[in-house]
This record gives sequence, structure tokens and C-alpha cells, in this order.
Amino acid sequence: MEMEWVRVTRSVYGQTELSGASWDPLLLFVLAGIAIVVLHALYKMTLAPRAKASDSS
Amino acid sequence: MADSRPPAGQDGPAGRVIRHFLADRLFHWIMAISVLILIATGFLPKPEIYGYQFNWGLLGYELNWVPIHWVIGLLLTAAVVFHIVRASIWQSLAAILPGPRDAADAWRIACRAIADRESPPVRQGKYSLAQKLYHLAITVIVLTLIVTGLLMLAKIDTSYWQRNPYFLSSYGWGIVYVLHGYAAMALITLLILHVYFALRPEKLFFTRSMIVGWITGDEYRKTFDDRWQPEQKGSATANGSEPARRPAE
Repeated sequence: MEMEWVRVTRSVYGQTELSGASWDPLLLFVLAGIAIVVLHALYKMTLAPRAKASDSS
Repeated sequence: MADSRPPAGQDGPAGRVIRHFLADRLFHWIMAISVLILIATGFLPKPEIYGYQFNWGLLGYELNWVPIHWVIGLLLTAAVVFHIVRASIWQSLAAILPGPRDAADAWRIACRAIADRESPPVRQGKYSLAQKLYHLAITVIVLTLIVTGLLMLAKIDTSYWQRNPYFLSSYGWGIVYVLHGYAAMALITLLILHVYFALRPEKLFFTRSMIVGWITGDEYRKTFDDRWQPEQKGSATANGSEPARRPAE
């Protein structure tokens, strides 16, 4: 799937103009956030040093 | 590294210590609500994008999101200006800026995670390196949104000013819209991370402190070192800048 990064339009003079950000990357930003959450949660569940009763967690 | 601080009740905060004063908590929650409204009014479907009249009408009333968006944007701008002035003059910018000791902390945290798992957790200043880096990212994103958003106010008619779309060239407006759009999308990522870390069990006392303003003396001693000298709740000292040490009994 080809992803657009910006939206372009044509002016009345036929020139290509930048009109704004494309919303195609929005899903990438959401998935990036979710990926970091999942990776951190997995790290805390498996690899992170365990907190002792006398330490902070 | 051995804990050189005395145990609870002896020459250290034994009661609640103030982490966030009321003005700072109010700023945080005003900013939070503003951002959520701005995200909703910015990303929810709109007629000009989908090419049809999307009626958000409730009981026959059609919602126009544009005035809501820019008015709340001005509220966010005012809140951020208040925060910048307060943090620069009445508080310590050094507390939130990453520095060499944060790099040393990050190295110790990594070493502990890899090779020294039995040692006690690394204590840091009032804000950890992760919190400082997050704050830096949110600063860049929100300031980008505010500056581009304020520029875009020139393109709308209001009761207070007439629109001037020739303020920038077409290409210039395109850059403004691209920056505003990508900053808004990056804000979604940062929002997801912020809510996640705010709800992590070991971080809940941070979240509580943003509501009620304090953390317990025990939480302070377990998490922070002497880089943060807080004010104890109920003390007469001002602004959390003086040591809150109680005399040894």
C-alpha cells in the first residue's frame, strides 16, 4: 500500500501546492505508541530487576 | 550503592512531602483537558476532508468544531505561557533539563538491569531522565502546535479580527499545515505513552501526587536522592526549595 506523507493540491494557475499533512501516517503513530507500551510491559514482566520489599518497585 | 540516608522518622521527611503545588496541578489538568478536546476536534471526521456534510448534530444541532478548536487552543496557549513563566522565575529550570548526572544515572540503571540486579534501585532527582526526555519531547511538540496554530488564526474571521490569508505564501501555509499535522500525530503517540506510564503500578504515586499534590516520606526516601529537597506538607517554608529535614530525636 502506497502511503502519502503530505497532501497536495493544484492552484488555479496549475501549480502543485502543499496543502497539509496526510493522515495516512496517523496509524503509524498510534502503532508506535502501542508498540512501545507492549515492549515496556514485556520488559517489566520478564527482564527487569525485581523490586525487593525494602526497595522501590 | 549503599543507602546513606537515615531510615524513616530520623532526620528526614517522615510525613507527606509536597511534590506539586496547586498552581502546577491546575496547569497540568487544564492542559490535559485542553489537549484532549483539541485532539477530538482536530481528528474527528469533518466535512471538508470526506467531501460530504458530516452531521455531528445532536437533537438537530450541527456541531461546528473550528471555534471550539481555536478557543481551546488559546486556553492551552495561556496555560503554557503561565507554566513557562512560573517554571522560569519561581521554580528551577535545572530540575527538568537533562544534565550530566542524568547520563550517569542512565548508565547505572542499565548496568543494574544487565549485571547488578540485586543492588537497590537507582535513586534520581525530582524528575528521572525518562521524565525529563518526555517533557522535552512534549515541549517541542506542543510549542510547534501552538506556534503553527496561532499562525493559522490569521486565516479565520472572528469577532476580534478579520482573516488575512495572504499573511504567508501558499507554500508557507503548506509548511504550517504539515508541521501542525505531524506534531498532532506525534502528540497521539506521546499521549499513549503518558497514560500508560501514569497507570503503571510502580508509578501510581506520581499520578496521585498530580491530583493531591503530595507523596509519602517513604516514597520519597525510596525513589529520590538529595538532588530534590522537597517541602513537607504543613511546613511554613515556601516553594519547595528549602530542605525539609527534621532534627534528629
